[in-house]
Amino acid sequence: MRLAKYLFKRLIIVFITLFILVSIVFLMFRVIPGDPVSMFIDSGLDAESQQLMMKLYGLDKPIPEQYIIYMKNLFRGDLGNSFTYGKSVVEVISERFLNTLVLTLTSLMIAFTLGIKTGSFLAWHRNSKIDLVGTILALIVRCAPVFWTGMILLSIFAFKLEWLPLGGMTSVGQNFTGFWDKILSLDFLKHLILPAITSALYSMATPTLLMRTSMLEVIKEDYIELAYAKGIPEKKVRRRHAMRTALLPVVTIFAVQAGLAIGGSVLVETVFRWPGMGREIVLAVSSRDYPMAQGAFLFIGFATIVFNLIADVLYAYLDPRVSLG
Amino acid sequence: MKSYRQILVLLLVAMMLLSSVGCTQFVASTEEPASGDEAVTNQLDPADQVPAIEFWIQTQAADPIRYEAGLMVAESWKELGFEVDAQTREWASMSAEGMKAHEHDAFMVKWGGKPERVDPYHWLYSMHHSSAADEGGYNIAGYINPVYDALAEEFATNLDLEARQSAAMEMQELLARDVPQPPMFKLELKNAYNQAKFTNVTPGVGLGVYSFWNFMNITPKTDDKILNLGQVNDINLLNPLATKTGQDIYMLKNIYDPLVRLDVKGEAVLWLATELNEIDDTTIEITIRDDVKFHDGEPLTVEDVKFTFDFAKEVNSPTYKGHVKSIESVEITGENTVTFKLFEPYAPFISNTLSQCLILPKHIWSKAYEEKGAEGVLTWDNLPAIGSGPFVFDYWRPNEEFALKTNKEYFQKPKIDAIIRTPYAQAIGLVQGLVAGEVELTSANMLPLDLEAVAKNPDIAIVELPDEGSYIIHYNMRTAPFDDVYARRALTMAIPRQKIIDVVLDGGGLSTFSLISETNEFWFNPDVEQLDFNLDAARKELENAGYRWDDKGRLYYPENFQVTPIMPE
Repeated sequence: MRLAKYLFKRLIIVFITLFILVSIVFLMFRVIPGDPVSMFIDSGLDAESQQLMMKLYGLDKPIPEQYIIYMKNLFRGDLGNSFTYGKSVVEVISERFLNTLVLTLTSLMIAFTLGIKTGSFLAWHRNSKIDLVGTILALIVRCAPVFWTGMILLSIFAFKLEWLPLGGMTSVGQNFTGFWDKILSLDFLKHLILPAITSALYSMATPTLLMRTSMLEVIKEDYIELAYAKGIPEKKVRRRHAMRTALLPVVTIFAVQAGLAIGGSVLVETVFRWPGMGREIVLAVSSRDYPMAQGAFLFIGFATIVFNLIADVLYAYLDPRVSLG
Repeated sequence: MKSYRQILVLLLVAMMLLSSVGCTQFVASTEEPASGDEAVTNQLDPADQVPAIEFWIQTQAADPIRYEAGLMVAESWKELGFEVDAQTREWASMSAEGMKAHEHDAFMVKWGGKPERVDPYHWLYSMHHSSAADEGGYNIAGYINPVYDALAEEFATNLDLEARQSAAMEMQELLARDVPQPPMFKLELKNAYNQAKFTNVTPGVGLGVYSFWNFMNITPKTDDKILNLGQVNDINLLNPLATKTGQDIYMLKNIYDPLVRLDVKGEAVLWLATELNEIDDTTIEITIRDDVKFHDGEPLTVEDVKFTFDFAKEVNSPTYKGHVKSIESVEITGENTVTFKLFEPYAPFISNTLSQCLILPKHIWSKAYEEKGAEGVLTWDNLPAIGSGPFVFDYWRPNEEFALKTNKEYFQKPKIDAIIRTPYAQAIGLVQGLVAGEVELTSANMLPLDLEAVAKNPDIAIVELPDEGSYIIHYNMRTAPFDDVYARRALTMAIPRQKIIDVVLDGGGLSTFSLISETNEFWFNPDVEQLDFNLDAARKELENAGYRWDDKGRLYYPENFQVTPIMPE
C-alpha cells in the first residue's frame, strides 16, 4: 500500500518534470538561430520552394500554435514526422535505440562487473601499492577522452594488427533478415568488441572507485569483525558479508548511468560508425530536425527519470533501513 | 580582526594601483590628438569612420578551408583600414541569417558547380536578378542594376543561343566590375578510388565520381563486382518530390530516370526522351522510349510523364517547384509523345527542367496520394523507392549501409552489380577506410593531409577535375560599407586569392573572377576585369573615391559622402 502511494506520488512528479522538459526543448529549438530549410538553399531551393517546405513542416504557423499542436499530438503518443527522414520519429528512435542498447548494455555490463570486482579488490588491499596504482589507473582512464581511447584502440587492433574491423555494426554488404539475425552473428560480435571496450573503459572508473570507498566503510563495521570471529574464511567474508552491503550505492549509480547511456555516446558512435542514438541526436540538432531532436531528448529524459525511479524502489528493497515515503 | 585589516589595506593599495594605470591611459589618449602634428587627424569626424564589418566564417571543424581562408581575408581587409570582426558561425545559423534573411555583412559560401548549373541560369539570372533579392531569394548580395536586369531577362527568355551567349558575356563584365559577391577561387577536386579493383572511372562535371555516368561506366577488374562507396554523410530521404540535399538528389538519379540527362560536361543528352521537337518558343513535343519498365514490372508510359509534371504541381512539391513553374500544361499527343506548353519562353527548359524532374510511376504515387493526401506524399519516406533507372533500391539501414543493385532489364546496363554506400560520419574515418581497402570509391574531396594518408595504399588512385563552383564572398549591398561600389572593389582587391590557394589548398586551386568556370567554354567570358590581390591598387581605389585614413590607419568616408551602388557608366 505504501509502495503504491509512493509510486503514485513519484509518477505525478515524473509527469510534471517531463512536461517541463518537453516545453523547454520545444522552445529551445525554435529560439536558436537556423531552421531546417534555409541550410539547403545552396543545393537549389528557391524562395518559393523554401516557403512550401516551411509550410509542409508546419513552421509557417506562429510558435504558440505549433506548441499546442505538438502537445496535442504528444498526448496521443505521436512525436511527429522527422523532417530529414520522412518517417515517424518513434520509428526512427526505436531503430537507433536498439542499436545503442546493444552497445551500452554490453559496455555497462563489462564496466560494472569488472569495476565492482576491482573496487572491492582495491579496498581489500587498501593502502598497498596495488591500491595506489589501481586508483591512479582508474582516474587516468576516466580522464582520457573517449574518442582518443577509441582511436588508439582502433589504430592498434584494427589498423596495425588487423584483428578487428574499423567500424560499423557489421561487415559491409551483408543483408540481414532482421535485428536478431544481425546481432546474433559472429560478424556483429567482432564489430562490437572495440566500441564496447572503449566505452566500458570510460565508465568503469565510477563503479570501481565507488565500490572501493563503499567497501572501505563496510570493512570497519562490527559485523565484519564478528564474521571473522565466527571463523568464516576471509574470501567468504569479503564476498558474502562485505561486498553485498557495499554494493548498495553502486546499484544507484548503475541505474543513473543506464538512464544516461540510453542517449548513446556521440563520440563512441562517431569514432566507430555505430548507427545509434547519439549520432542521430547530433545529426538532428545540426540539421534542425526539430521533431526528431525533441523526440530524442524527451526519450532520454524519460529513460533517465524512469531508471532513477527504479533505483529508488530497488534501494528500498535491498536495504531495509531505507523506507519509501 | 587583524587579518581583516590587512586584507582591506591590500585591496586599497591594489585599487589605487589600478586606478593610476587607468588614469595614465586616459591621459595619454586625450593627449594624443593634440600632440599629433598631422592636421588631417584633427579634422576627421568620428562619425565618418567606415563602420566595422562583421565577417562570418565557418567553424574549423565544419570546413577547414573556409575557416582558414576567412581568417586570411579578414586580416587583409584590416590592413586596408577596415575594422573587421571575424566570427565563426555554425552553418545552420549562417544560412538562416545570411542565405535566407540577407541580414549579413559578409560571409563565405562554396557554391556547388552542379551539372544543371552549366547553363549559367543559376549564376547569372537567379543570383543577380533584382527579383530574387527579397528574403529567401538567391540574390543574396542584393544586387540591383536595371541594365543587368534587362540583359538577364534577354538571357532567360531568348531561345537563340548566340543572343543568350552575348548577354551572358556582358553580364559577367558587369558583375566583375560591380563585384556584388565576388568569386574567389575554386578547387581542383580530387576523388579517390581503388585502381586495383576498378577501372573506367568517369567523373562528371560538378559531382566528380558521384556522377551518374561514373556509376554507369565504372568497370570491375576482378570478380568482385560490388562497388563499395564511402561517403561522410548518409542519404536522408529518397522521396524525389521532397528531398533537399544534393547527396539524395544525385542518388535518386540512379534509381529514377529523367527525360534528358546532363552528360559528363553538363550538356543535355536524350535519355527517356528519344526526340525533342521545339514546335515554337513555348511548345515542345517529346517522344519517349517504349521499352522502359519500372522496377515493379509496370511499363513506363507517357501517362507517367504527364502525371509526374501535373502531380508535382498539384501537391506543390518543393523540390520540383522551381523547375515546373514555367509549364502551363502537359498533354499526351500520341502513343509515345507528350507536348509541353510553357507560359513564356524559358531557355533552360531542357537543361534544367527536363533533366531535373525524375519520372514517377503513376500507379504508385496516385495510390499514395489517395491514402495520404498532398501533404502526406511530401512527408513520406517512399521506401522502397521504385523508379525505372539502372539501379534498383535494395536495402537501407540508416547511418549504417545503403545498397542498390543493378537493373538487369535496363536498356543500358551498368558494369557493376551493386553499389553499397557506407556513411563514415567523419572524414578521418573515411580516409582510414580507403587506406584499409574498405572503401573503393569516394566523392569526398581529398585535402592535402588526406592525400598523404592514402598514399600509403598503392592501390588508391586519385582522379582530378576542376570544380565548376567557386568559393564566393557574399557582400551585402543593403548595408555599409558594402553599399558602395568603390569599397567593394577595394575589399575584393584585398582578397589574397593566390596566398589562400598556396597556403590552405597546397596549390590545389585556381583564382576565379567569374562565377562561370573557365572550363565551361561556351558561357565563360575570359576578358572580364580581374580585381586580383593588390593592396596598393585597393588603396588607390579608395583614395580616388575620396576615402580617408587617420594616423592609426583607420578608414574614413569621403567628405560629403554619397553612396555609389554600382559603377557609373
